[in-house]
Amino acid sequence: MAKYHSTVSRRDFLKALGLSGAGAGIASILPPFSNQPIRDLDELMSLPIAGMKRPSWVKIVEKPTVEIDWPQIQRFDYHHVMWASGLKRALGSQQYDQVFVDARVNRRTWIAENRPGSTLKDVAIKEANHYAPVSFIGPQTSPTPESLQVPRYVGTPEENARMVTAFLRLHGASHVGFVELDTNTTEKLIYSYDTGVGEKQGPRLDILDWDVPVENLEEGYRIIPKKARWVIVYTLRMADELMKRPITEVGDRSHYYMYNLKSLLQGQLQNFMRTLGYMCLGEAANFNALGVHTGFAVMAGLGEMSRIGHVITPEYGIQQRVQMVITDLPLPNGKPVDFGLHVFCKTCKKCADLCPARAINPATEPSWDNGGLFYRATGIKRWWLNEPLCNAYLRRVNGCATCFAVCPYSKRHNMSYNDLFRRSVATNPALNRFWRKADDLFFGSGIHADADKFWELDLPPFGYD
Amino acid sequence: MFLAGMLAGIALLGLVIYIRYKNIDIRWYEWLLGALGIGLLLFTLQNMDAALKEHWEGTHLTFLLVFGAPALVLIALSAALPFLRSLIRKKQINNPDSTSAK
Repeated sequence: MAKYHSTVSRRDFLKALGLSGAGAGIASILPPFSNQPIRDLDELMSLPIAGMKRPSWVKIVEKPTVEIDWPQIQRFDYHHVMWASGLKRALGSQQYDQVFVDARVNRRTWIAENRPGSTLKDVAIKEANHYAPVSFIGPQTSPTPESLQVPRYVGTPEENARMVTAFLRLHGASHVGFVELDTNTTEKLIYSYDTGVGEKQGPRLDILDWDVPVENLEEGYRIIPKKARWVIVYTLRMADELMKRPITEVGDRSHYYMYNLKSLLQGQLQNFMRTLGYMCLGEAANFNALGVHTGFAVMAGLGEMSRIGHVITPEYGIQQRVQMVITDLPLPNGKPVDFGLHVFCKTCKKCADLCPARAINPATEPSWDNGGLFYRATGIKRWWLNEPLCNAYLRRVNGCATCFAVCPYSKRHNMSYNDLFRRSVATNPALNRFWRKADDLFFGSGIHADADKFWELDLPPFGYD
Repeated sequence: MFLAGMLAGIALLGLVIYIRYKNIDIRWYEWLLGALGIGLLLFTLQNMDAALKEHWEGTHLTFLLVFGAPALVLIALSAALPFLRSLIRKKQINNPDSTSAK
């Protein structure tokens, strides 16, 4: 009798199932596109890494979830922040000097006591900093289109965005976003005075109708040409296992090693843009310069502003450093996102509850009232921190960031529970109180108490997977 | 998880074949209880495994207690209900007067 259907025995079926399972298993552990060499920039741009697919519960919105009264916003002088002269002005010289005496004594005592996370090897890892030179203009070491005797690169804003994203993600950035500068709104997020050296006043940042950027540190100004209308804002992810061990020297490394990477990446980006034929104005400081990073990250749609004033992204929570550059390469204007974070912060308050310095505002609703304090911006409705208290504490203990560790969003995506939590917050805010309680039940404070165990972990490159 | 999914699929296939072979009568709500139980059990196992990978001490045990225990109760219920029903039916067959007398 002729066979009209191919027959498969049960044994063959199970064998095939096993083989296909093994194939799928191997495919899942191989790096993506490992068999596809990248031949040119167009191919690089076509790779999925060039565009980040956001979770389905992240909504794109017209206005950010944090309320901003743009006419009230003034360009901010970086000199006032706690990391510049702000702390000294707020505390007074005597108290300020005492903070650093306390920090030195604490460090010495804790090394002598072999306190977990603050031993000599922990101090060594924190202090293992090495920065590439950062500057406003950039390294200027790559060829220009003129030197190559070719016209400069031209693409649509969307193509340019994809190209820049591909470049940055290849070199270590997690999120990449764009903001078009508008004189009445986003341009006000550029500092009026840039970051200076130590506590010194930095150079003035003038936005003028010039063709080329100018830096004159002797006379104390930098000029951003008006035609450089686009900000590229990107994040560098920090290691969870460091972040989860706060108030230790080893835990504090989570910030510094990403600032180290930023110094290298910024120069690479500036050289990349130079060869394409565009200016790329960078941060002339290792930590923060040029503009309000959180503001740009929120306006670009990388995340929402949290209770502590940092940006929280749907993917990595609070665990990233945000960096920026300004360019004249045309780019699309990003839009803010809403994934329920701002509303969740109103009920959660875990950071405020567990802040060792009691510096985080526990109020349910944010406020427009900045208390008239010189180190606070105007025109933004937020939960105002007690910045001097926070900054003095973290300097005394040589690094804190407990708020980063305890945040319910500071979890990786291995657990399906955490995806369920994020999805619920985005779609059903009525359950927000339940999720805070659930976070306490499953993760306690969210801190890994075994600071010394870090050295025994078998971590992936950069400490995250 | 791939292995867990494959094993769960094979176990489910085996269960269906066994139920058909033995001609066991299963009601829709027993299927539902069983599906919920298995879903919750897989959720528990996945989260326990991930919690250990992320070095959350004690979290895996909390997952076991909060989700694993109800999962086992649901699975036990979905298995016990048809079994109890078949026991009652067997009793009725062996002793037909007991129902007619009532």
